Amino acid sequence: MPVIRSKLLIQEEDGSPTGRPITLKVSNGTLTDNGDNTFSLDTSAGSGATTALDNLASVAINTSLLSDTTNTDALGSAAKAWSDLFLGDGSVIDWNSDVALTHSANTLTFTGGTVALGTATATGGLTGNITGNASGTAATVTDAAQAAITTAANLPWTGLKAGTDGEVPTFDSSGNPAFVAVGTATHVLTSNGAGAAPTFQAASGGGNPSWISWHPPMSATAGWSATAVNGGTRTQAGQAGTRLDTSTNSGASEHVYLETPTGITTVMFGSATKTMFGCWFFENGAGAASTVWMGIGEVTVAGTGITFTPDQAGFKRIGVAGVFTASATNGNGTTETATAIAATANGGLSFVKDGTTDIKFYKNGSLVATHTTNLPNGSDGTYLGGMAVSNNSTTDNTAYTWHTWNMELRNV
Amino acid sequence: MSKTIITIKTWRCTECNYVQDFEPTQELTDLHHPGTKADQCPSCKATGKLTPETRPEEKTIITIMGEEEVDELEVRAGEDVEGKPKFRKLNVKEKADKVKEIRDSVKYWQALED
Repeated sequence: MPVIRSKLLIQEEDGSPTGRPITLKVSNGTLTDNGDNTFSLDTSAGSGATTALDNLASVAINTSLLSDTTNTDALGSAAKAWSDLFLGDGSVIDWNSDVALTHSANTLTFTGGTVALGTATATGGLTGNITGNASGTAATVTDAAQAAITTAANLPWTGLKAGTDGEVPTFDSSGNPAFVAVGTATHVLTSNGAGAAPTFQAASGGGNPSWISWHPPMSATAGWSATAVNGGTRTQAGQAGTRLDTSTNSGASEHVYLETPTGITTVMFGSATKTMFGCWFFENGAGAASTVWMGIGEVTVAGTGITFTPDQAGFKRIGVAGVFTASATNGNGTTETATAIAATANGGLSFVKDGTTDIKFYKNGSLVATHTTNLPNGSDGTYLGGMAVSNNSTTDNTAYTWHTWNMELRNV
Repeated sequence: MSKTIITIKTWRCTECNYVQDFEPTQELTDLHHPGTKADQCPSCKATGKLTPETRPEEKTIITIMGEEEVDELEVRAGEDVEGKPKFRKLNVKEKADKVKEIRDSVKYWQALED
């Protein structure tokens, strides 16, 4: 009996593949024997994707997508990358139960390990808030992140930004961080009081320390010398102190000065010394035209007036037609600097000359003037200073009295 | 040439009449009055402010000795038997140096006249 061969043509709609096979295999459960020499193929039985995902054009994935092994298969490749990845609320990316990223509303929580970022650069870095610990390096920390830094218990001093050697960190008068400028060798850091940064200054008493003080008695002539012109007189006796009168002779003067003790050749106005002077004086009656001086140095005294350009520092009071002007004065041997201060007929006057920096003048303890020009520097100490009066070529008697007089000289 | 008298820039306190011969910049104030702010009066710090003096008679006066005074200048020349200082007049070179010093000073301060 001849074998009858099927002539049924099998092919997909697009014609490929096509053929007249002897056997057609279909998935289990999809073929039904109808009993009338016909079979039915149920193509609707599988609504999900096949394990080969070769039917995704007509079905969807409706169960977990699993690899046939673990930690081997990749999702995409370097050459075939997936585009976007959309995850649902509360979804989790889990790395082998070690670390995970978990979503919740507006929050992505990292758990189980450490977030390690690359080195911060102009185009990279970390922006936002950090809850927990941060380590590593950062180019800058700005805005609110700075305010969040309230302690630095483990920040080593050597971890600070490098600065200029010799500077000292401090705060300025506004409370802002600042540096004390590098000082000169051998200088020491000196407080300038509240509201001001300290500064490096020359150490007081350094080098060749010395401190000489003169407080000569005003009621005795010992140690004092006097030069009179045209009848000027001095009276040094009793508790009244030292009084100088020009007399009423025309063009008269009197000059009393304290001599340097024999054997002492102290330079009164040396550049490395601090010279201090103080006196208390009283006007007994000054002529309408008159001049009086008190201080340290070698003024030139004459009946016509007093010359203040020599090396000297002190105070002068000059009367012109009955109008009196008091001034702080100093000279350097050629030139004098004088500034008007409140006119006074008596009171305490003092000054401090600080090396070559300045002279500060005080009246009754208050600072009244500061001079920085033409400071005396050449006096050889022959005279420690003194007082003088002149009636400026008139016939008026001009008289003043000094009750105290003292001077100190310090190497600084 | 007789004495030269020049007034220069002067700063005086508006409250206490304190006066100084330098501009109260912060740098100079730090040097002369540490702890005081620029323009602040170092004497009455609380209220005073240093401003340029405009009244001619209240400005700092610079007086430069006249050249005719050089002949009268003396310098120390040792001590006598009692230890008192002796003096002598300037020699020719010392006089010439002093005259040059006077002329330099006049030139310097005239440039700063106010």
